[in-house]
Parts: sequence; structure tokens; C-alpha cells
Amino acid sequence: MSTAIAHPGNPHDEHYPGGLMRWLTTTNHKDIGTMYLTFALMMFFVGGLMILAVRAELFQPGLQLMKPEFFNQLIGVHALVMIFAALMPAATGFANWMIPLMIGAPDMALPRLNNWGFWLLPPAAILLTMPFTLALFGIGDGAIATGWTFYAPLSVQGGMGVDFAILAVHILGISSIMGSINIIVTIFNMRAPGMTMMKLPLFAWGWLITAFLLIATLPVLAGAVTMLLTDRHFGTHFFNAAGGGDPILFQHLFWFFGHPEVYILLLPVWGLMPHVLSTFSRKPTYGYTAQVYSFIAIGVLSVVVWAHHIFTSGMPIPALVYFMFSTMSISIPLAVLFFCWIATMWRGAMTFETPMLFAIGFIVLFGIAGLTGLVLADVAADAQYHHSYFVVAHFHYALFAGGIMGVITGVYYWLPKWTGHMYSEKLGKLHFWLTVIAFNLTFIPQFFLGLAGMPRRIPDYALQFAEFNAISTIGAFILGFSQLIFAYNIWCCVRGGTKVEARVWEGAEGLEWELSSPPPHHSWEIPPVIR
Amino acid sequence: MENAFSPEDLARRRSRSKRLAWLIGGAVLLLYIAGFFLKR
Ligand code: HEM
Ligand SMILES: [Cu+2]
Repeated sequence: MSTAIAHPGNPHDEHYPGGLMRWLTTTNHKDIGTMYLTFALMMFFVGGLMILAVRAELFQPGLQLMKPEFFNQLIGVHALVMIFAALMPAATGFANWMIPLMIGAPDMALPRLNNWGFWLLPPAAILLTMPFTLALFGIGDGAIATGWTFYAPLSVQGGMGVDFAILAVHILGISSIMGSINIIVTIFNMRAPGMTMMKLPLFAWGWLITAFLLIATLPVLAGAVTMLLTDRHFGTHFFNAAGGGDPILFQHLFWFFGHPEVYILLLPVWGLMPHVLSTFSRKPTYGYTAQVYSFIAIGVLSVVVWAHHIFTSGMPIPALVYFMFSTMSISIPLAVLFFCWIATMWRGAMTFETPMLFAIGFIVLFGIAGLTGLVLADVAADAQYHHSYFVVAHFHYALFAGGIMGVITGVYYWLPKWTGHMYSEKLGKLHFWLTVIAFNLTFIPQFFLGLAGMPRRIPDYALQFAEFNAISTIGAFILGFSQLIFAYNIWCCVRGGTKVEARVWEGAEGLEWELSSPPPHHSWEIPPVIR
Repeated sequence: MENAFSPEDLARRRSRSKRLAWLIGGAVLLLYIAGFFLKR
């Protein structure tokens, strides 16, 4: 046998630099996956600290801690960090680590592009947050203060924080597009012989749809913020009403990206769920084909419903009706997914290890996101709820209980595979219960605040909102600090612990469980046999 | 397939991937540029 296919079990058949140079120059999908995940975890805490400052300010009515301008900056950068620097990189880290293992490929198709995609992220994150630091030294007036949505005309008039954010979003977008291209071509060209598309693991299917959505929508976001930049500095009037432009055009362009973005954040997690549920129910996934077609349906529908975010900005009545019903129709394929998840568990031999707990928590809490979404999709009702805390609560059930808890599910599920060690179940369960209780303590009050009329993105509020805000702040601090347990558990698991076998979980099915834990440096040099 | 993942097979897969990658990249750029000709 030639040396090119020597292996498995010989991680040093190639020379690569050690230390920092290894991480700067690596083209190995597992190294890059690890970097994405580490970066995401760090930024999760950065974004978390920002929002704890916000919640501290909102603990009581009146202005206690900060100026309103700074408050607005914290809210906007929190969202941008969580979406672009925590959730998306975490999902890309999963993709890098797991897709080659799952489809029987030796690595990603374009390893150098992969390296580049990651190393664009840290500079972008620095650009996004640097205006805070500059302001400390008296340079500029701080970070972007428009919220994550960049709405014109505020963003046309804003300070230099807006320019930093525009540049950062461009870089983050390029990084995501490169990652998506790599995932698409890997899935199309690197599958082991016999791995047909309808045998492709659902996680890879979810990511495939995500990648197409990113490619279709990120250029539109990039275009919109470039136009914003030229409006700000080069005398154009795309969004400036005084010059014949249209601020509402910006809202349409933003949400043409923004709505698919929420599915971009969730499709990888929806792809992961059936793996976890089937493993811990010891039953095959229910409704594989139905789930694939639901992913595709959701992907297609997600690009034609964007205006439900701007019902109150004004549009013709037929448009309102169209966007209302098309939005509501997304709940049909979504309900198919819920049905399949539950049917996978139905009469299974279930056990409740930490990943399974988080998966079930995900299903229950994410269901609340879907139901409250339907409420908001009602044009008549949205006139009252829009821009209130009800919306904030809705999308945190989607993005924290759906997105973040989904990512946590994946981390606990795959961490033993990545490290070769078992994490602490005791700490994992503690982390789960604290997270679920504190999450609801934080966000249930926000539904009531929204229904009672409290607007979002304000640093002060009327006295009648005081109690619910105090409860929400207490919940947020517990929620934030319980994530330290997560970080500690990961740290210990990386450092050592009980050794695990190749098939970490007794009920686990799939190629990824046939490689050792941790897998060899080069994943599948000899293609696996696919039944 | 007989010689799956042989150096030749991998080279073939990589070049196919590169072609598709450039194609998608081109489409992305086109979409981005088309936006600037948006008239209202
Ligand atoms: C059946 C499912 C869903 C429906 C019908 C729905 C509907 C809506 C509507 C109508 C709004 C606008 C509310 C307003 O601003 O007045 C909204 C906001 C939002 N939704 Fe959903 N939603 C659904 C699921 C989701 C999911 C799965 C996610 C995320 C993964 C999500 C994330 C968001 C976000 C982030 C916002 C607020 C964005 C902002 O204004 O900053 N939603 N949703
Ligand atoms: Cu939406």
C-alpha cells in the first residue's frame, strides 16, 4: 500500500508546524472545526456580558448605570455578536467537524478556503467591538447604535460605529459565503461511494439547505449595507428621502436577508435533532424523507415571507394578506418536523443523558417560538405587538431555546467523539436544569411586558413594568452564570476524563461512530462501506 | 467504485469542486452587483 493511504492510527504521517503556526496554517477540517467552536464559545460570553449590562440597567425603572446611547450600542452589538460571531460560527464548526465524518469523506473539498474562511472571523469581531474601546480613549462616539437591523435613516446619520459594523458585516458575510461554498461542494463531490443523496445524514441535509440560503441572501445584505456606506460617505441617496431615496427600501432589502437568516441559524440544528433523538430512543429516525422535503420547503418559503417584519411600515393590503398567509404556511413543514421528532421518540427505549435532555427542552421551548410566531404573523394583531417586548420574547424562544440550546445539544452529543473523553453527566444535568428554569424566568415575563405595551430597545420604562423587568433581570443573570458550568465541563472534558469507545452512545448509528474517538488526523482515507 | 479516494480520484473530486466553487462565487458576485442597478 502506498504511503498516501497509509493509516488509520498514524496521526504523524505528515509534517505540520506546532504551536500557533499549526492553528494559523491548518487545513484539517477537525482543527478548523475546533477553532470555529472555540471562537463561538468565546463570543457567546462576550455577547452575554453585553446583554447582562443591559438587563442590569433594566432591573429598575429610571436610568441607573449608563447613558441611553450606550444602552442602544450594547443591544445592537449583542445581537450582531450572537448571530454572526456565536451561533453561525458554532454551526460552521459542527459542519467542519462532522460532515466529512458523516459522509465518509477524507476532508472538506477545499481545505485552504476553509482555513481562510475561519481566519476572517477574528478581525471582523474586533472591528465590530473596537468602537467601544476607541470611545474609551475619546475617539468617536462608540459602536453602532441602530440595533442589529441597521435601519435607515438612523444608520445614515449615525457615528463611525456604523462604518465599523458595515465593514465587519462585509467580512463576516464573505467568510460565511466561503464556508457555504465549501460545504456545498463537499456534499456534492466528496461523498463515499454508495452515499447517495437520500442516504445523506439529516445533519448534512440541513446544512446543505442552510448553505444555499446563505448564498442567496448574504449578497443582498452586503449590497444593502454597501449602499448604506455610499449614502453615508459618497453622496448617493438610496435610502435618504431628502434626496429622493426610500428608507423603506432598506427595510425590504434587510429583511430579504434577515428572515432567511433565522432559518439559516436553525436548519443545522433541525438537522442535528433526529440524530440525537434516535440515538437516545434507540429507534431509527422517523420520516427521513418527510424531513428532507420539509427542509427544502422551509428553505424555499423562507425567501418569500420577509415583509412580516415590516407590516407596520406600510404596504398595500393585498401585500399584507400575501405576507401573512405565506408566513403562516411555514408552520406546515415546521409541524411535520415536530411530528417526526416526537414520532422518533414514540415508544422508544428512551434514556435521558444530557444531550437528550437538551433535545427535549429544545422541542418544548422551540414550540413556543413557533406558536408565538403565528400570533405575530397575524397582521391585525401585529399592529399592537410590533416593536414590543413580545417580539423580543418570541425570537429568544427561537434563537436561544432553538438555536443556542440546539448547539449545546450538539456539543454534549459530539464532545466525547471529538475529545475521546466523557464529560461530567452530573454537571451536564445541572447545566440543563439551570438553563431551562432561568431561561423561562427571563423570557416569560417579557411576553407579558410586551402584551402590556412595553416597547423594545429603551433604557427606561413606566413604573407598571417594574416587577416583570426585575424578574427578567434575575433570570438573565442566573442564565448567564449557569453557562460557566458548560464552559467548565467542556474544559475538563478536553483535558481528560473517562475514555470512550468509537460508538460513544449505545444507540448511535452512522459513519461518524465507526471512527475512533477522537478520530484519526485524516478522517476517511479508505472509503467506508455503506450499507 | 474500485479506486475510490485514490490520489487520481481525489484530484478529480477536488477539481470538480473548484469549478463549482468558482461558479457559485461568480453567481454571488453577480447578485451583489445587480443590486446597485436597483431602480425604484
Ligand atoms: C411559525 C414560525 C414563525 C412565525 C410565523 C414567525 C413570525 C414572526 C413575525 C411575524 C415577526 C415580526 C414581529 C414584529 O416585528 O412585529 C417575527 C420576528 C422575529 N422572529 Fe419569528 N416567526 C416564526 C419562527 C421563527 C424562528 C424559527 C426564528 C428563528 C430562528 C424566528 C426569529 C425571529 C426574529 C429574530 C424576529 C425579530 C427580529 C427583529 O425584529 O429584531 N422566528 N417572527
Ligand atoms: Cu421572519
